[in-house]
Amino acid sequence: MAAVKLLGGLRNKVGAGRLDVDAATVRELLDALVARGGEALTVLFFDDPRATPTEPHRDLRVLVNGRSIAFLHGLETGVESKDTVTVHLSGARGYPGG
Amino acid sequence: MHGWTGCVLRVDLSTGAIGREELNPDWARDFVGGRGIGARYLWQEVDPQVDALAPENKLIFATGPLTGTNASCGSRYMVVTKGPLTGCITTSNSGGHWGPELKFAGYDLLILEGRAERPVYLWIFDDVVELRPAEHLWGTGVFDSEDAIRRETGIPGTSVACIGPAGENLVRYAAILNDKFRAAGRSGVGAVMGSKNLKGIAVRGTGAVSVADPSALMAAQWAQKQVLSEAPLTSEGLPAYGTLALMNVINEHGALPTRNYREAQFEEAEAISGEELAQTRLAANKACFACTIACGRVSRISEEGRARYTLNTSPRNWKHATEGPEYENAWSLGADCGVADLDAILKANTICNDLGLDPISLGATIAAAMELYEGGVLSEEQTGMPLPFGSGDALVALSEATGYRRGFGDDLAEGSKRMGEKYGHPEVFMGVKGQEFPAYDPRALQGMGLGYATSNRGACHLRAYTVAAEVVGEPEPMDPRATEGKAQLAVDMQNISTAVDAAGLCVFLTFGNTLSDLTPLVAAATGIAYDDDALVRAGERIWNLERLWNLRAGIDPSEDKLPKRMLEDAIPAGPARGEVSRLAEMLPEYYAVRGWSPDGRPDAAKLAELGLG
Repeated sequence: MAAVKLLGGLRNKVGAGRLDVDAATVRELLDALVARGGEALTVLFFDDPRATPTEPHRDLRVLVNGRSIAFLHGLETGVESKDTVTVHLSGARGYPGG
Repeated sequence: MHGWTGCVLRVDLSTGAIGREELNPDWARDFVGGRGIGARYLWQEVDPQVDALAPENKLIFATGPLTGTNASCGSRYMVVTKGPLTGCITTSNSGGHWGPELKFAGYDLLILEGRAERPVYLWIFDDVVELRPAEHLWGTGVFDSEDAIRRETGIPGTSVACIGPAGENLVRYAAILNDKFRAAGRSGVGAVMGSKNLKGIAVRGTGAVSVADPSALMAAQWAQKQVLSEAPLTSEGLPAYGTLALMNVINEHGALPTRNYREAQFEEAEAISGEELAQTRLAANKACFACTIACGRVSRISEEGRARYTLNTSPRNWKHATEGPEYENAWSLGADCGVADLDAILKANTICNDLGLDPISLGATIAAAMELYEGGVLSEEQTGMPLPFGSGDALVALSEATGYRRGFGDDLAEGSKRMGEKYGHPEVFMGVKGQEFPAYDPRALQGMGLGYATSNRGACHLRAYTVAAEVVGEPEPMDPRATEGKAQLAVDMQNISTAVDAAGLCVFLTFGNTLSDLTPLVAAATGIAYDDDALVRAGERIWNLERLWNLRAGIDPSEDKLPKRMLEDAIPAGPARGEVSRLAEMLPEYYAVRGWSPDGRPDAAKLAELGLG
């Protein structure tokens, strides 16, 4: 079981701040959170016209042991029982450089 | 002129002379306003080698063309002067309502020079400008001083910017507070004000900002606000958790400096996080003038904390409520000192606001002292109390002692660089050019290290917030541990953040708006056909002028460096374990992207290109 930490507004949406999830990949882990928090989470996690099968919603940030899955294998990043997975929403649109 | 009022108010505190002069229109066009126009006047009028606390240094309050308009986040004014903490040009800005009131009174800039013989405050009510005695307020905290000055003016809606005892006592990182809780916080601008015997500046204006094209401005601000209302971070994240939302995020990345940057993860981060504050202590949001984000926090000490801490707010301890803390403050007073007591942090943060201290430098300096205490360099006899990491009681006691320069607080008031040097351990200083780091470990976030090292006002997170790409993932995720592309990123962010500062806007809006959302606002307000490139060029021009000012002040490019701990001591644990800053890989490229010489100096061709030759 991977230890999952939820940050910010996701805690209310999922109904927990920390929980253990049995999953082999980040995709499976997010599916498990949807099963717990409801289908509305699907929109936050996956439902984006720009998403590809290997990428989450542009506003979703997932870290596996502190490393963004953007630099690992996206949704197919493997998850092991000793891992800590952090999930939070970002939602910036601009940045101080553009 | 439109956007600008076209008028500079100049007050000679030595003679009491008060004058008005026309704003230089060419400088306004080229340097836009705020940080830019302030730097241009400082360049013209102040010898960079002046003693920062001498009467010959000047203190400039500068607004931008969007300050006081209905553009969202158009609340900012910039304090520009030579900083006593760094010796650099200092540009420290604040929101609230003070800047707009100065514009409504009819002034773009307020230039203060000389030194009053006795304490005074300045009262500005449209065309009525007068210096008033302030001896009765000297030694009084910000909260009571603001109330007293406002009562004495008798004019509703008056906004007051003032210093507390820290500024009077020339604490090197004293702040200027306006509207009680909004601060021009960094680099010691409050000490410069104190050195001039100027307690406060009260301002009330009954005019308005004339804009060139009201219809275009209305359309542009509507579009701007629409974007802010749709971006999840500016419409949900910041209102719900404030900047303190970053505490857990940065900690999870293993980039949260802990116990004076000896570690990069704080085991108690959750206890001082935005989520914890929102759940247990948040009373309300608060917004600055015209802001549609409202990231400000109104917080209450917890039930348990009330037995230990009485807030020096005004009215005294009213509903146990105070404001803040921002992420940077909660980090410096919390994780950096190993303190996990959110009530102690709220109390210390409130002391900082009342006494007029920069919480970032204060917390970082206390953290450095804690390291010396735990290392056996400082004794309890010297510090006046046990000073282990994690002591909320010591944090609170020393915050107050520093503002008044009492006991060991007199050493802390000098900042961690000078304090460390005094006790023979300069290596405990975690900062750049004399100014303490903010809340992101440059070993875990390589771009931040470059931003810190090259910031014109000493270590600063706001000059090149590479966190946006390295953590938040905008405009696209960049590997925080890589150095590739970080030089260009830092330069882009420095130039554009500078342009945002110059316009009179809050840089937080850039989490929703892009430059292209903001350019139409500046163009519509001023009537000048700025496009994105012109604003970026203005930002670059201002950055180079600040650099020139620092070079003339004797700040050598070799000061573009990080402490040895960041370069050689690897992060001991956590996600970024084993990382050090690889500044040397980025700095030459940074100079090249800037178009500077390999040793970090703008050459004649670059200066001519920017109209600075």
